[in-house]
Amino acid sequence: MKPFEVIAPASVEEAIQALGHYGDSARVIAGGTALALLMRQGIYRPQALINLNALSHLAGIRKTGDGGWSIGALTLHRDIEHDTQLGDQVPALVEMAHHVANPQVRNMGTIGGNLCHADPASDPPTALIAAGAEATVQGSDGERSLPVEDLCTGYYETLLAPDEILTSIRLPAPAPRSGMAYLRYTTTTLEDRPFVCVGVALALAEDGKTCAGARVGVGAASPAPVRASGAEEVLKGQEVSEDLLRAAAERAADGIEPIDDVRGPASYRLEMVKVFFRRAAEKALASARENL
Amino acid sequence: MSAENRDLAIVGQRTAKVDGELLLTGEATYAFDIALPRMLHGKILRSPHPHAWVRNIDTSKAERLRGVQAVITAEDTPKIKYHFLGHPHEDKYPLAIERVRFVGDEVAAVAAVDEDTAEEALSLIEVEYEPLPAVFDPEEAVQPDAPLLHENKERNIAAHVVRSAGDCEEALQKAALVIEGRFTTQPVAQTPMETHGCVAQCDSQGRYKFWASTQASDLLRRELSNALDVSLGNVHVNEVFIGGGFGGKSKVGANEALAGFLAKKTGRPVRLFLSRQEEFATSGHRSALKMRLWTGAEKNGTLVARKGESYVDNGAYNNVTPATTGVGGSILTSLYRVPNVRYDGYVVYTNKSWANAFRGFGGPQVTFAVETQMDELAEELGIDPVELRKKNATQPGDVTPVGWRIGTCAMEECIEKAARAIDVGWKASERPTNGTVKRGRGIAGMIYTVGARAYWDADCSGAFLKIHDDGSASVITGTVDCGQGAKTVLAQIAAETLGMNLDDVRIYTMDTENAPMDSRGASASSVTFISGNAVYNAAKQAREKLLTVAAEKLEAAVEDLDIRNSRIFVKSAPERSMTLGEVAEASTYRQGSEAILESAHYDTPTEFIDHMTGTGNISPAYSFAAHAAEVEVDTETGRVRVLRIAAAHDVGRAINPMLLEAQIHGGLSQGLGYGLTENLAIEGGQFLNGNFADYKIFTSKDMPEVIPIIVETDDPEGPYNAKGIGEPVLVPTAPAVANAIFDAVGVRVKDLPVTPARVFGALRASEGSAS
Repeated sequence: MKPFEVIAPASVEEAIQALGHYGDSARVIAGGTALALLMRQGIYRPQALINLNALSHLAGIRKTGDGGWSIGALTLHRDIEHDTQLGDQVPALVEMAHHVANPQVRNMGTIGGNLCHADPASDPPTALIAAGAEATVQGSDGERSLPVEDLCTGYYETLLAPDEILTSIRLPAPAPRSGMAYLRYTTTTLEDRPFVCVGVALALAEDGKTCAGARVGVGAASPAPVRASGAEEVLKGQEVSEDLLRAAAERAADGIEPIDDVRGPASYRLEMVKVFFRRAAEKALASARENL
Repeated sequence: MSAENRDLAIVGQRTAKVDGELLLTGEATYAFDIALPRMLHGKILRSPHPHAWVRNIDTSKAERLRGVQAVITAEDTPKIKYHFLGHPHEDKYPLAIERVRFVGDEVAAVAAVDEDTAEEALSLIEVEYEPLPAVFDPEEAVQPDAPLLHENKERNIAAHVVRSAGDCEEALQKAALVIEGRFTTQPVAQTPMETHGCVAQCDSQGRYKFWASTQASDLLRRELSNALDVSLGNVHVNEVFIGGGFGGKSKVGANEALAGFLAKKTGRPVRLFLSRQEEFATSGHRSALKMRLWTGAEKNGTLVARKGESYVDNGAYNNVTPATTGVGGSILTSLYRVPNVRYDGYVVYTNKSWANAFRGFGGPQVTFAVETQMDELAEELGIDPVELRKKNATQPGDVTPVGWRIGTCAMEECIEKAARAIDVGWKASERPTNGTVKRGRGIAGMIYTVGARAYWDADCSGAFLKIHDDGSASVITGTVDCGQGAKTVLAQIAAETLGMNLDDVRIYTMDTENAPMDSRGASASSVTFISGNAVYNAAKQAREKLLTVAAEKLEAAVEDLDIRNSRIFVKSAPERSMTLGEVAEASTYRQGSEAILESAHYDTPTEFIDHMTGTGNISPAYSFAAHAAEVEVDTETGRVRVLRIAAAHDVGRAINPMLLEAQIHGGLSQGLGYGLTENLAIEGGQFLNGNFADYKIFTSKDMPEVIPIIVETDDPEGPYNAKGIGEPVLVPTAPAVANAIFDAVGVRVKDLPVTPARVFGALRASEGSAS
């Protein structure tokens, strides 16, 4: 590894300035669980690392006035995993966090770092898409927010401008009579990265039978996680039944350009998206029914 | 040795590892930990091309980099090929000359003051390559128009291994039923925790010292003396702790010779360890096979013939694959009683990293195919798969088609016990009907050697034993404890024989300058048997001397004495006794004193293999086992979960049941990875998954319930009647799982690993053909 500078900004603004100065030859670092690997393998050779860990206000999970949540970018996977209040309201998210990588990574890695690294085979983005999360980013031009499904654009690619930093994730309050489920499927060992993963949030209408709306995230199947709007459309406004879930499953892989890799072939990925969509939808539905 | 008719105090006990504290605290010094004054760090420049001419190498920029002490190419070496398997198999130089043949082929090496500088120096070496057409598949490589890797090897065939007995063709023609099939197996990696590596030193007298992560220090010394072009006595391999080998370190790897060249050139110690990526991509994996197999049987299930034909992916150079292919052929012809057999194994060069030894040494590949067909045969004939196997099981006194003379053998009992442990062959009515998840159970057997008189006409090890003045003993052997617990087992054998407390025995290994000759190191599942017998013999001699001295002092006859807990006593009057310390002092401190210094050499009573036919009784004993697996298959995804494995092993006698069970656990995890998850993905000669994130070995989360079953047959030749265990624990695992999958969902995948996608595809295909 070649020597590099480590910069410790005292504010987000300073961090943005440093990014502006170094451009592509610097990266912000939080937990470093992904970046350090790239550096050790010589895939990325920075001139400088901008260490955000002094910016403690970017860590933590807070309830917002509208009943939703704000999750700071520096929040550890472990803190999400163990947040009992968040767990009461969005149990699927907390359960997802429990399966991110391994305890060592969860104790070091941050949710912001995970999203910005944009590894296609990762759990949090897909679950966050289903939960309707938005990312708040700050740059020299000010602050903006964008849905998580728009943030990740491809293999290790995001919409972030070179001098932008993800500061927090906004999570809306779960809709009434709704339930969410997140399933990860591994084709090799249990702790492997997901081969496909599916998040489904589903809300029932007052009649307790009609689907008032659904949000579906599909990850690890394509270079970036996507929202499965085809499946969402099939569900919305219809009376929920086994057949309806099967019909929606047929659309869950619409528009996905599947990855073909060591974990399995592309055509098999599409089939598994359908299977795990249906299983996640069944689980989300069961949980929505409990919230009637 | 013959069976001992007395109570055993230490052999057979579940004693903790004698070096356990050192391993747990991290005090144990591995080669990786060796740091010498003025030590340099070495790195290897490797070919990025699968096949190319090397037109020019310019090292001048790298040499000018501050901190670089040496840059070497083939021109700086004696240009001697590795010769492990002997003529005509030698084909690889430590550094490539004129031509590279796989991605990772060694082109140059540097030594610098630190690893970063060495790494940077590699990037400054300018190599001019002229790419050549490459071939990656063994079946394509034997075609007449395929590019040749080595000019003297026609059709890229490095070796053609034949095993033959009886009239196989005629027997197949006459058989009531013939099962025919095509199987493929994948390359898999040994994944030791410590990668290959060493520290090398060459002093001004031209003597080399190595601290190397190896399973076979004596073999390493031989190969280094050849590659470095110095006499055997000028190479000294030292003892270190070894962080796993699993076969991969049973022969020299490129790092040792290159570290030696660099150490000689710089006059300074050089440390050279492979990165994890290099370990995966360049240190040798289990050979991949494309194989056709025919099994013929009578209507009653009696086997009459078996024929196999394999194209074995050798990679770009011969490591041990001609030998692993031979072992595979011998196992294919010797597994169960089959009178008419034929095996043709074509070892074929391809432009990929070379295949190496890996726990099972050619056995797992063919056992997968043979045991799959045993199940197919049972299915076709309507015979219970367990009964079919028992009916054809090898029995004591058998001579297999390759001349293996079977002594102790509990194959039938192993099959029976493993099957009964999880009730293989359960009735349809007993099966849980749990929606889309189906359950199944399957079984597979195996045969294996304990050592092998195959490389040269020796299969031996030795022991020096010294009784110290305090009555303790040190034992020096040339074998290697690569983590499996050899030191503990050898200490138990010595302590039992001497009547000594286990804590009073210290075992030293590996040191080629100070230990007696050892012909193979930790390989062929034979350390307990071969080194164990040497240690037993040395301890027996020391015991007799101790008793003689004590008899004089205690005024009793030798026959009336016994030794227990480091104390010699008169059997009829135990209060008349001396500690071993007192006996040792009495022996040494007197007029005409005598030190108790014993040495022993043990060579197995075996026949040297006939290299043309592969025949000969090459092993002093044979191991047998059966694994029975229970699995769950998700029919919507094809994903397999292994619930339980019963592993029954005929080990002769368990010296340490706890370490033996640990071997079973470890071997099962590697066998399950082989069966289900592991696959070195190589595309266009490039490794796609040379890291643990993408190459998936079984973890504790994935492991099923393990039911170890130790079957004891008291082998008359083994030390305290033991045979071996290291490799058999892996060999029958994958077919047991594959057969359980068939039992669950009725599809057979004949390609390893049995991935969810393959099971899913097979399920879809069977639905298609059913509807």
